[in-house]
Amino acid sequence: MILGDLLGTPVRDADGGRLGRVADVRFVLDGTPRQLMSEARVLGLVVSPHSAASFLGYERINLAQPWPLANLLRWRHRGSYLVLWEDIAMVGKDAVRLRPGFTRYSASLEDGGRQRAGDGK
Amino acid sequence: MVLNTPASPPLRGSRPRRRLSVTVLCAGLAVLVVGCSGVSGSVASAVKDSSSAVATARLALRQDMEGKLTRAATATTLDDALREVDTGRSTVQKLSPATREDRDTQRQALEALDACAAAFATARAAVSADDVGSAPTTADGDRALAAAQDALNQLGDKAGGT
Amino acid sequence: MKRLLGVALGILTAIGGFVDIGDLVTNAVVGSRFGLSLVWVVAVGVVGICLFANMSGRVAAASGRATFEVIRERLGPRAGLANLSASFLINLMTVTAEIGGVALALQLASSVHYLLWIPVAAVAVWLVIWRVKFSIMENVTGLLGLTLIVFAVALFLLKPDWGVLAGQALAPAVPDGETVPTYWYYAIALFGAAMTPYEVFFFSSGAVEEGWTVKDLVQSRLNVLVGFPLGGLLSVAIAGCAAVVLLPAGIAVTSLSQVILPVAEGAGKLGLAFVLVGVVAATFGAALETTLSSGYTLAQFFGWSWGKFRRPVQAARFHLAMIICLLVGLAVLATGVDPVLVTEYSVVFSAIALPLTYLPILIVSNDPQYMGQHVNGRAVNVLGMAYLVIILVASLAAIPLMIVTGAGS
Repeated sequence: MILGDLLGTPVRDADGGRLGRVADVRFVLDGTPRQLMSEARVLGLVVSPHSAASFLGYERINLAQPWPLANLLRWRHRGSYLVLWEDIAMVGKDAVRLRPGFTRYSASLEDGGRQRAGDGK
Repeated sequence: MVLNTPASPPLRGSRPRRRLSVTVLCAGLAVLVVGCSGVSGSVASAVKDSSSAVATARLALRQDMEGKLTRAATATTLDDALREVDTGRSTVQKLSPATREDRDTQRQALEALDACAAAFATARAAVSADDVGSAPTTADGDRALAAAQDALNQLGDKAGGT
Repeated sequence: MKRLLGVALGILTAIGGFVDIGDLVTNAVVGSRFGLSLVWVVAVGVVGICLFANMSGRVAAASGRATFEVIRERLGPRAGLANLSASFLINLMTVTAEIGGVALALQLASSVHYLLWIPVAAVAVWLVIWRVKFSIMENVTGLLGLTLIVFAVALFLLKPDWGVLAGQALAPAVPDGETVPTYWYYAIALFGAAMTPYEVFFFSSGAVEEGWTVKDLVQSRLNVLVGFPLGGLLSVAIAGCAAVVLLPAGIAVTSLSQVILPVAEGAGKLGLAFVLVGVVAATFGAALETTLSSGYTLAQFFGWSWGKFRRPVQAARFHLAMIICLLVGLAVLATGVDPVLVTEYSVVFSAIALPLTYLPILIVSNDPQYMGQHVNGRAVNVLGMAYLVIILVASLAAIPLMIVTGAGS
């Protein structure tokens, strides 16, 4: 499947309850080292309850300018969180289903996105 | 691959309503546009455009006589202006008036616009002919255009009055 | 001394390059129908283009990459595609209009029908893009475009009642015989003409072509902040000429031949010669810029190698894309559609697409990952946000106004 098709797919919990939609896919570069950079590994999906549109980069918490835009985009994505790949039960065409008892990690990135995602709530 | 797809939740009602309001808006705008372009409206705008074109032609001819404009520029300006008049004329021609009053308006407009086109022909002939022979002079062209402009102005006043 | 010359050259080409067919036609139309009562829009537009051209030049100088490349990478393919399709279609319309403008100006000089000039103009554009060095191309068309200053000269020679003109400009009112929606429709058209999105993309890609670094930022800022406002003054002079000669005669501009009549009135055949050279240079220069912009945006979105600094064989898709754009423009013009009409629509559609172009630039120029210490300052961001609101309002109002006014007729 093409990763881009996953964007905007509804996300449901184990009981079929609607949680939001896939807004982003998060990668970490910790695979086999290559010439340019290490291989990327899918860390998880960012689930956004209100909007599946792009964060336009404002998931990085050190980015706050221009503030009306930053606040607007953060508000559109309020309550969004990162779900690790291990917590995903099934990726289907019409929905992504999570395992029972999945953990919600913070979707924001610190230090320009170079660090691993935060500790969660 | 997908074993059990959960039923998708019912769509919220906002979308059809939004579509409806867009339709209403478009319909309203359409009525507004059509309402402004009856026979007299179309004639008035054709007359307005044509009188602008005739004024352009007269300005160009005057500049030509004063030696301010090259022949190429004068000729091009006249051609552009004539095209404007022709467009207006064919719009008026295509109208299908329902009342006698509208038919009269159309006929008068066509007469005036025909006179315009004829005046343009004179002016254009004057500009293309360099030698002073049987061809009309630039001054002849200007006189013809002036007469056409008067006719258009009368028509415009009448259309504006009603 | 050499540096000073460089600065002067940059400013002069910025002035000459500011005016294109959209500015020429829209300013003349507005001047002939509304006098100088819409001059404030030119002022608003010039400040806007300075602001965003500066931002985009800074992105290019700080990151060494063109703005659109950064947008595509930073905002992702979806936002990039929205941006691309909007600006690319407008660009294609503008290419068409500019080539038509070159042909119309050549018709005025030669009385050979403009349809015959169109293939000549298109081939000339292609040849220059293929063969001529970027800096030479920019400087020659920019400097020749400066002859459009004859509009300002003619305005003085016409000895207008300056008080009346100033009154129109300073206390704007809708003239008799025009409606309020038409006034605002043309306000948006004028705004779109001044802020044409291609200028910003071209500006940043040009910065990469010429290999700007942070050291060149001062000069680029000078070029923009001095050159564009002077170009804006040129626009006002075009409108002023039309307001002085055409408005009292009851002439509403619908063709390029009417645009130049006031110059002939004020400055005679010599003025006519200057204005024709200027119009050809300005539209030809803009045709080059818009064609290159089409290539730049496409290549930068799809990640092709691009740029005139590479040999054409090394940027084959970039050059092929531009040839196709030119052919599309030719095909549109070959239908006999009036280039002036294409121009009038292109400036309004530019206004409609503006938010999609300028929002990403504002976001990218705030990103420290690309910009380092050269991110936008607070004042620039406040102004940028204010303009974003103006742009959004203009964009949303454009289509309803177009329908209500019958495209300004």
